Amino acid sequence: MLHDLHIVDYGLGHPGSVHDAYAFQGTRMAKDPDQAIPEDHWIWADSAYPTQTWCVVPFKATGGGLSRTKNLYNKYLSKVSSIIV
Amino acid sequence: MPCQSARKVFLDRINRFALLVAERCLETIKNYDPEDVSDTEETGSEGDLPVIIPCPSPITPISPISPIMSFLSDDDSDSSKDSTVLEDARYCRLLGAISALHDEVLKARILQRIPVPMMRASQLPLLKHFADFWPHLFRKKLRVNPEVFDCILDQISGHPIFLSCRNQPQLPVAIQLAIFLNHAGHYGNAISPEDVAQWAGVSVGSVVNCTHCIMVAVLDQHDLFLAVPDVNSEEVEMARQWVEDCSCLGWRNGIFVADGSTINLFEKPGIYGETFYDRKSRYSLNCQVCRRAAPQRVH
Repeated sequence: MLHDLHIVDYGLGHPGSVHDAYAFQGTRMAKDPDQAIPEDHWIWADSAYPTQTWCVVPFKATGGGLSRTKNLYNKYLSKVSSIIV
Repeated sequence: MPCQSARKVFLDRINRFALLVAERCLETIKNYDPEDVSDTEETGSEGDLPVIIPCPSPITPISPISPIMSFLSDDDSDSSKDSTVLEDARYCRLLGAISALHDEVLKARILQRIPVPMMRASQLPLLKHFADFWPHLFRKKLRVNPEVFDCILDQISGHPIFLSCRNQPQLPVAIQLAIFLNHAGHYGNAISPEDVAQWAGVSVGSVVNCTHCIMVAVLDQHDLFLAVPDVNSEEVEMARQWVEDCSCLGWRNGIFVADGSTINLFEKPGIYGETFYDRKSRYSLNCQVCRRAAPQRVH
C-alpha cells in the first residue's frame, strides 16, 4: 500500500492451518540465517516464533504475570515490531 | 455451454448413423450366408454393436472388415461374392468417412455469433477524474494511490510482454494495469472475470490476458524489490536510526521484522479443505513476511 514498503523475504505455500513458526521455517531467512541476515543484526518477531540469536521474541507469561522490566521490554518490542495488520 | 451441447448433438447423430450403417452391413452378410444365420444374429445383437461402432479410433472402419472377409472366403458363389465385396467395400468406406467426420466434429471449435451484440460501457475514464479529485474512490477501485499506480506503470511499461507480435495491438499498459489491480485487489464472487469485463468494457478473455501479462511483468521485477539490502546502504542506516529512536541504542541492529498473515480464500477448497481452516475460523493460505523495520504499517 505504501510506496516505500520494503519486504526483504517471504514464505508462501502453506495452508492456513499451519502454525506461523512452522511456516516461518520456509523463508530464506530462517533456512539460511547466516547468509540472509547481515552479521550482528536480527529479526523482531512475536511470541509464536522461536528464540534464536538472529530472532528476538517477547517474554511469554507462563502461569503468573511478568515482572515490570519484562513488561517494559515487551512494550518496546511491540512498538518496533507491530507493523503487519 | 451452447458450443459443447451442439457438438454432443452432432456426435450422437454421427454415432447413431454409424450404428445404422453397421447394422445394414451385417444384414447384407446375413443375406449372403444363410448357413451362418444363427452366428451372425448373435454377433449382430444389440448388445455388441454400440461397443464397437461409436469408437472414434481408426479401428472402427477396419474392425467390421475382418469378420466380413472371413465369411466371404467360405462363400461359394462367385457372382454373389463379387457383389458382396463391392457392397462391403462401400460400407467400409462409408464407416471410414463417418469416423473421420466424428474426429472432425470432436476437434472443431466454433465461435458462435451472438444474435444481440453485448453492450459495453467502460468505467475506466472515471479513474482519471477520481485520480485528480477523488483519490479515495481511485483507491477503492484499484487498491493503490494514484502515485503508486504511476510508479508501477513506469516500472513495467518497458516489458517485452506488452509488445504485440501480431497486427492486432494490445490494450494500453495503463488499462491492463487498472484491470489487473481491480481484479487482484478484490475478493470473492463479486469480482469474477465477467464483473471486471463489464466494469472495464472489454471481453472476459481480455481480462484474463491482462491479468496474466501484468503478472508476468510484475514478477520479473521480483529480484529488484525483494532482496536483503546491503548493510552499509542508506536505507538500512535509516531503519537502524528509526529503531534506535523507538527504543534504545542497543537495539538499533534489529532492523528486520517478521510476522505471518493469512490470505483468505473465497470458499473451502474441494481437496483437503480442512487443512486450510485456520485459527481465525477462516479458510486461508499462510503468508510469512520479513521486512525492514520502518514506521509504516503493512496492510
